Amino acid sequence: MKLETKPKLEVNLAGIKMKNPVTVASGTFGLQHGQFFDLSVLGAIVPKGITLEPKEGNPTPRIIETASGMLNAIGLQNPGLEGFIDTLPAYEKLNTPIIVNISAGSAEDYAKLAEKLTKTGKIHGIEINVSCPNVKKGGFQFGSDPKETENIVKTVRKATNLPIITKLTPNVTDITEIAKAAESAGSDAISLINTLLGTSINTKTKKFNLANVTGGLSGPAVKPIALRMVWQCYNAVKIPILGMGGVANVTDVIEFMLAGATAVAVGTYNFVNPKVCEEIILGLSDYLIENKIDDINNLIGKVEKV
Amino acid sequence: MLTIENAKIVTNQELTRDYFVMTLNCPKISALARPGQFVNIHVLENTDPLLRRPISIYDIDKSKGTIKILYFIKGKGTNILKNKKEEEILSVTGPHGNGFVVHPDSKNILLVGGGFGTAPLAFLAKEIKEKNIFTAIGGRTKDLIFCEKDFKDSGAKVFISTEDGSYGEKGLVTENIIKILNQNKIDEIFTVGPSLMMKAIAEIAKKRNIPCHVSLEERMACGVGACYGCVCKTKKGYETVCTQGPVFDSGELEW
Repeated sequence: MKLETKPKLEVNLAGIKMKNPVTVASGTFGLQHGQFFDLSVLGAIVPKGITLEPKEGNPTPRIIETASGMLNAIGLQNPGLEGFIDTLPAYEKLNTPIIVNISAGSAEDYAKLAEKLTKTGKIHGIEINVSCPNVKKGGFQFGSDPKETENIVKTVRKATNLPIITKLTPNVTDITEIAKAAESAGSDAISLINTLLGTSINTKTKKFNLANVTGGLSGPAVKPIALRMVWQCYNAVKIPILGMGGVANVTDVIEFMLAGATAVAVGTYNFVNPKVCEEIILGLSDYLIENKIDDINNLIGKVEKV
Repeated sequence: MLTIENAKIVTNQELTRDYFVMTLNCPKISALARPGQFVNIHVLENTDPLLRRPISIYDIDKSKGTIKILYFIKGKGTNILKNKKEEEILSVTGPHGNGFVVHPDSKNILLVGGGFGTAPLAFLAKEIKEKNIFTAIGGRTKDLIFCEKDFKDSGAKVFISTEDGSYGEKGLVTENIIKILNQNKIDEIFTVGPSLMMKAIAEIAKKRNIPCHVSLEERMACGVGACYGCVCKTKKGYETVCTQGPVFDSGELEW
């Protein structure tokens, strides 16, 4: 009989060595969460997305709750590249890979960000955000066009030797077309899904609930869509997938991995339970032991038809 | 420093129609909480409603390890909260936010509360008993005047006004404020209530050159300063209500 050994949780996301497949979605998590649990348990950390220059963000109100989800239209408020670099030492101390999510209005600016971040020598991967639904320039207008996506990824590819993860928007007719474009342009991985474009109306005031009119839908409500898209992309490209969209517990993580994700990010649920990532990581081992799986990698893409 | 606790409900009682007081056993939060801070409560182990509800801390009892909140039935979340029974458990995070900071040199403090905005101010009054406290409370009707006894117990001089004249002076809280300011030298003002009321107080304070601190309410997601969902516009740009607030100097706000 085989000895009881600790199951293997380590995954390799396009060269980013993660001690477990659990990370966080940009914009939903920060060093502040270290007040609730030891952040070094994370498989990787993804700070809030940055732009070259500081960005003020959208007018308020920026968020509204929806059934099992929420809409946000933050508009990428961030302290800019330099402001972010000042915070890097604090991220470094966590002893877990740092994946930085970048946004820009042109391919050149994406490349500049990638180049400068690479030069810090402190980060482990770059997530190209071509899918933000809440900014006029550089959002999913890029990510919904395969040619634009290809152009940006190619330009960033020349600027860095770090693993590139292209973050895809679900607000397209066929996400696999964009996934293929990212792959052929040299992206090392893809992450999906960003939020789904939606809106909400206050029936008392007869006004939209968001100052930006539309926002990005996230939370458990979007999970089935995200899962379907991860499965579609898994069958369309060879590069690994960082899956996300409504992840709230161990079962969700397993589902995403079965659908083809190598790693999984928790987003909105960090707001609901600020310790959820730690709880999921602990729960993953239990799941693997109970199901007699010695390596979590054996789950990737292993879903079967009924 | 924030903490997360599974808090047992000690009491959950209706104060007046749609207004409730809940006592929760959460010793870690109780030990850390200061006036003006808030807790973030997960009302249901379910996904609808999804987000936590930010509610001001009304009182603490460190010896018992409890906190008190005064809440109003506003929507889905608070409707669930009102039906919670004693002994039930709620996930609570806190204490969130900066809280009120009273300048050590300030002797005469004016607290202005509109509706159940008096709750965090009652906590403040209890903590600054050694100061000379004036409190102006305003509400639409008599049953919407909250925390009068708490302020009196803290030795505050209490001035009440109701819009319909059913209790105290008839009229708006601002009319009482002007009277208080005309007769006393006030060093600092702290106000919590509807934003129109707070704006009017801030305007009066500005004219008289008195520092005025307001506590803002915003829809929140993360509650820890990570998502920038709850921001308000200040002279320095958008700042998070959850961590850089909820208390702001009124002169800093662009509202």
